[in-house]
Amino acid sequence: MSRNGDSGRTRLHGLVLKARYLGRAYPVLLRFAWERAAAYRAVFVVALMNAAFPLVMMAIWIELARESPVAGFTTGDFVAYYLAAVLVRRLTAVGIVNDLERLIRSGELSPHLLRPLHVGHVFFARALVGRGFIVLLLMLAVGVGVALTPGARFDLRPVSLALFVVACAIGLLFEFFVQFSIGSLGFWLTQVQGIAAAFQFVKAFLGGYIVPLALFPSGLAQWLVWTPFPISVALPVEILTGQADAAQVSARLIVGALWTLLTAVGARQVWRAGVRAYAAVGA
Amino acid sequence: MIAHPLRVFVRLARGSLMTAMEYRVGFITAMGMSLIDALWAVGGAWVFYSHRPTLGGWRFHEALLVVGLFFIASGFLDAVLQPSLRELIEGLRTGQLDYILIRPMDAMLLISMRRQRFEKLSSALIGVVLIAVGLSQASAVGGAPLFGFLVLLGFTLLLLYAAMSLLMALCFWVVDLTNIEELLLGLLETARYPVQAFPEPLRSVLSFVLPIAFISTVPAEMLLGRPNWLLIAYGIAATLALFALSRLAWRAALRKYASIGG
Repeated sequence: MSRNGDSGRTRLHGLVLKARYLGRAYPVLLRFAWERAAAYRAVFVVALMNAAFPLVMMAIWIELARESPVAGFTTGDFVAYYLAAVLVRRLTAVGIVNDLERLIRSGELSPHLLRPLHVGHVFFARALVGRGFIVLLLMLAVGVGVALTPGARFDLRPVSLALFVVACAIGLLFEFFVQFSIGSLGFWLTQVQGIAAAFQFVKAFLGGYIVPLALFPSGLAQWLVWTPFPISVALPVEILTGQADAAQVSARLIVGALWTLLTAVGARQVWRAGVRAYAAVGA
Repeated sequence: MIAHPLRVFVRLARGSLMTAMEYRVGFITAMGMSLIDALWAVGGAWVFYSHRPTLGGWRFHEALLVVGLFFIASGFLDAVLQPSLRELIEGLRTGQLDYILIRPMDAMLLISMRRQRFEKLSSALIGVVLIAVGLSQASAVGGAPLFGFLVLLGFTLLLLYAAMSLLMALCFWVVDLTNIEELLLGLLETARYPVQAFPEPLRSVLSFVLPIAFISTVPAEMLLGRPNWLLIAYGIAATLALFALSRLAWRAALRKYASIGG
C-alpha cells in the first residue's frame, strides 16, 4: 500500500513539476513565436484567399433567399452564418504542416530532439500567435457587418458566448493535433502538403465552411454532425448564430472533445514512430 | 514574326515538361486536388439546385458550363501565368533577370512564358470534362456558336494574360505583391457560378465594371446559343484595353529597371 501511495505521490509531484516547467517555458515560446510571425507578415494576408469561396456562396444564397427563405434560412441568417464562419475559421485554423515538414526533411529537427521540451510545444505556441491583431480587426468587421444587416443576429447571451469560447478552444486543439499528425507523416512521405490540402478541402465542404450543414439533405446533415469535420467551423458558428439545436450542443461538444482526444493520442503515436524511423536513418 | 516566339515557347515548355516529369507524384497530387476542387464547385451548385429549380435562370447542366469555364481559366492561371510571375519575382530579387533582358526577344513575352507547371493543367482538363458533360444534356450545338465560343475563350485567356502581365510589371515597383495577387484570385472566385446568380449591385459590378462575367458566363451563353452582345463587346474592349495598358506598364517598368543596386 505504501508503495502505491508513494508512486502516486511521485507521479503527482512529476506532473506539478512539469506544469511549473511549462508555465515558465510558454511565455518565452510565445514571445519567440510572435517575433518570428512579425517577420513574416505576408502570411497573415494569405488567409483572405480562403474567405473568397464562402463569400461567393453567401452572395448567391442571398439572391436565392430574396423572395422566400431557403430551408428556413433568411437573407440575414445567411449573412450571419457566413461572416461567423470566416471569423471562426481565422480563430481555429492552424497552419504548421509546411514548417513541420521542412523541419523534418532538412534535419533541423535534430537539435530540437535534444531539448527537454517537446517540439510540439514550440509549434503550439506558433499556432496560438497566428491569431493576434488580425482577428481583432476581423471581429470588428464581422460585428459591424452583422449589426448593419437587417435580420442578421448573433446569440450574445453569456451562456452561448461561453459555449462559443469552449467550442473554439476545442476546434483549435483539434486543428492543431490533426495538422501535427499530418506534418509528422513527413518522416515517411514527401507529399505531406498535398495530404494536408486535401484534408482542408474535405473539411471545408463537410464541415460547414462552404455550405451550412442544415442545407444538406437532412439524412446527410444528421450524420455529419457527429463526424470530426464540423468541430472547428460548423459547431462554433452554429452556437454563435444561435442556429444549433440547443438540446444537441453539449452532446456535440463532448463528441468533439472525444475526437480531439483521439486525434491527440494519434498524433503522439505517429510522432513517436516517426522519431524512431528518423533516428534509424542515421540522423 | 510569330514563328520565332512560338519556337522559343515550345523549347521552354519542353524544359518545364521534363522538370515536371521528374516529379511524377506531383501529377497525381495535382490531379487529385483539382478533382476535389471541382467536386466541391459542382457539389455547391448541387446544394443550390436541391433548394431551387434554377439559379438566376440557369438550369443545372447549363451552370456546369460556367463551372467548367472557371476551371479552364484557373488552370491556365496556375499552370502558365503564375509560375512565370514567381520566376520574375525571384529574378528581380536575385538579379537573374539581367540575363533574360539581354536576350534578343520581347521581354514581356519571354518572361511571361518562361516557366510552366503542366501538372496544374489538370484543372483545365476537368473544366473541359465538365463542359462536355453539361453539353451532353443540352440540345446540339451549332457550328457558329461553337466558333464564337472558341473565339471568346481566346479573348478570356488573353484577358487573364494581360491582367497577370500588369501584375508582373507592378513587381518592378512593389516588392511584395501577395496582397494584390490574393485580391485578384479572390475576385476570380466569383466566376465559379453564373453572374445572374449574384444579388444586384454585385451582379452589375461583375458584368460591367470588372469583366468577371466575361471569363465564364459570357462564353457559356454563347455556347448555349443565347449570346449577350453587349457584354461580349464590353469584354473584348476591356481585354484589348488591359492588354495595351500592360504593354505600356512593361515599357515603363523596363525603363525604370536598373538591376540590383541600381
